[in-house]
Amino acid sequence: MYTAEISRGNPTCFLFLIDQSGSMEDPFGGEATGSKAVAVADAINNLLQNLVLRCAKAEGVRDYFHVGVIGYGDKIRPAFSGELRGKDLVPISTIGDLPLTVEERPQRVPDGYGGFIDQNVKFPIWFEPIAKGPTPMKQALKKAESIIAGWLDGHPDCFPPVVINISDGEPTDGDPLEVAESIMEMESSDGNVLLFNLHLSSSTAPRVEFPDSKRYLPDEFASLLYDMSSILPEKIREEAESEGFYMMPESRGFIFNSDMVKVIQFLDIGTRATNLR
Amino acid sequence: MRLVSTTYTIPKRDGCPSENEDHFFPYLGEIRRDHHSVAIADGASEGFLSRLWSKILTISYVNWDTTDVDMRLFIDFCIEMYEYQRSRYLERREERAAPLKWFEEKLMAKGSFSTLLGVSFEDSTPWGGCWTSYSVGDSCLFQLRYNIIDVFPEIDSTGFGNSPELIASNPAYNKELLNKVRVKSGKFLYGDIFYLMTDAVANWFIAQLEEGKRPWRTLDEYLDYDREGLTMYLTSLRDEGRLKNDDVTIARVKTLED
Repeated sequence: MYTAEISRGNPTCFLFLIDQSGSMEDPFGGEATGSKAVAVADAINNLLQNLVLRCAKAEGVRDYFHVGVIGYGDKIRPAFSGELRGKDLVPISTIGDLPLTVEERPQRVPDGYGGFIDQNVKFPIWFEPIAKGPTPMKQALKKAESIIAGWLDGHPDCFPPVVINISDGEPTDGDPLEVAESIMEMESSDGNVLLFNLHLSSSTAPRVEFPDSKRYLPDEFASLLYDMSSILPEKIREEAESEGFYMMPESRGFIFNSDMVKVIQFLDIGTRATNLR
Repeated sequence: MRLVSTTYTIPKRDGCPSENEDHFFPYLGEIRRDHHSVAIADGASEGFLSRLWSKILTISYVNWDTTDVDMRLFIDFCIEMYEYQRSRYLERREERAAPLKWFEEKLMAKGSFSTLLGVSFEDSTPWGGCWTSYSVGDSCLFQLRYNIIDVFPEIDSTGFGNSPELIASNPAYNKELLNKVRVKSGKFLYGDIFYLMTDAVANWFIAQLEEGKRPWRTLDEYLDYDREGLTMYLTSLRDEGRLKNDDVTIARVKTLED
C-alpha cells in the first residue's frame, strides 16, 4: 500500500482546506507581527511553487499532480485567484502556467564559493489571504469528500489522494468527525485517502507533533482533530523522521498549535511523493 | 587493443525517447583507435536540462580519455561546456519569442544534476592491461571473466535509493563533490567484458547475482540477437516490479587483442 507510481498516466491529487475565518486575522501565538492568514497564504503559494518545480522539465511541466485549494470562512469556495478562480482541482501544469502574479522577493542564495548573497527571486502567487466569517469546517470537508470521490472515480489506481486541513479554530457548523471518517474510508487500489490536520497556534499551549495517542492533547478540540487524522504511511513517517520529528508506528498526520516553520515542514512532508515517474 | 562496445538505452515506461535523461558515449560499436574510454550518466529527473548535462559529462569523459582524471579540472571544464550550451539554448528561446517561464528560470538557476560512471583502459602487457574507473552516484560497472570478478562501486541490491550522489552543473552544489568521487583500478585480460549500467538495471543485475544467477547471459543474448526482445523483457520485469521504472542504459565493452 502507498507504493503506486505517480506518473502522467496515473497522477494523484492534493487538496488543501484552508480556514479563512475572521480569527485568521490574528497573529500566531507569541508572535508580534503578521496574520495567520498571510502566513498560510505564503506557505500555500510556496508549496504550489515547489510542486510545480518538482514536475517541471525542459519540455514543460508534467502532470503528476492535480491540486485544489478550498477556502472556508464566510463562504466555502475554491480559493485560487486569477484565471484559476472557481476551479476545484487543477493539473499542476496549468497551475505553473497561470499564477495570478509573479512577485520579486529578496532571498539569500548560495554564491558558489561557500557564502551567500541576497538576490531578488520570483515568487508566484495563486492564493490570496482572506480572514472573514465563521469556521464551517464540516461543510468544507463535505466539499472535499465530493471532490475526492470524483477524482477516485477517474483514477481508481492512483497513489491515494492527500487532503490537508489547516485551521486555527473550532468548527462552527457542527461535528465534522463523521465526514472526516468517511473521507479516510475512501480508497484507491493503493490505499485509503490520507487526511492530515494542521492546527495553527494562537495560544501558548505546548505544541504536539505527529502524536500516536491523545495523552498530551490539551482539550476536546485537539482530540477531535486527532481523530480526524490518518495514521501516516511508513514512507511519510520516514520523511518526517529525516526532518527530525520523533515518530511512532501509529503517529498521525496532525500537528497541534503549530508555528509557521512547522506549517511549511508539514506541508512539504505531506506532499513529498518520491515515486514520480 | 581493440574496444568493441554495444550500447542500449530505453526511457522509463510512458516516457518517450526524447525524455530519456541517461546518456552514454561513444555511440559507435568500434571505439576509435585513439580512444580508450567509455562513460554513462544518469541525469536526475529533478533537474532542468539534465539530458544535456549527462551528455556533456559522458562525451567530455571519453574525450578526456585518461586513467588519471583530475576531477576538479574535469568538472570545471564540463561546467564551462554546459554554460556555453545553456546560453545557446537561451538564445534559441529568444529567437522563437518564447522567453523562460518563472519555473524554468528558477530551475535553470539551480542547474542540472547527473551521476557519472566512466572507465578507461590501458594496454600495458601482451595479455591485457589496466583499467581505471571514476564514479559519482549509483551507476555500476561489472567486470566479467567467465564470472563476474569485480563490481564497482561495491553495492548490494538494497543499497539503491532515490538520492544518489550527483554532479551539479551549478558549482554551488558541488562543494563536497570531490569527497564523493570514487575511483577504482584493476587489471584486465583480453577477452574480459565490462558492463556499465545505470541504477535501475544495475540493481536488478546485482539482485540476480545475489541469487546465484548469471544475468549477463540473458543480457548478452538479447544484446547480440534480439534488442526488441530486450525491451520486452525489461518491460515485463517492470510490470512484475522486479525492475524500477526508470531510464535504462547498458554499455557492454569487449576488450580484444589487436
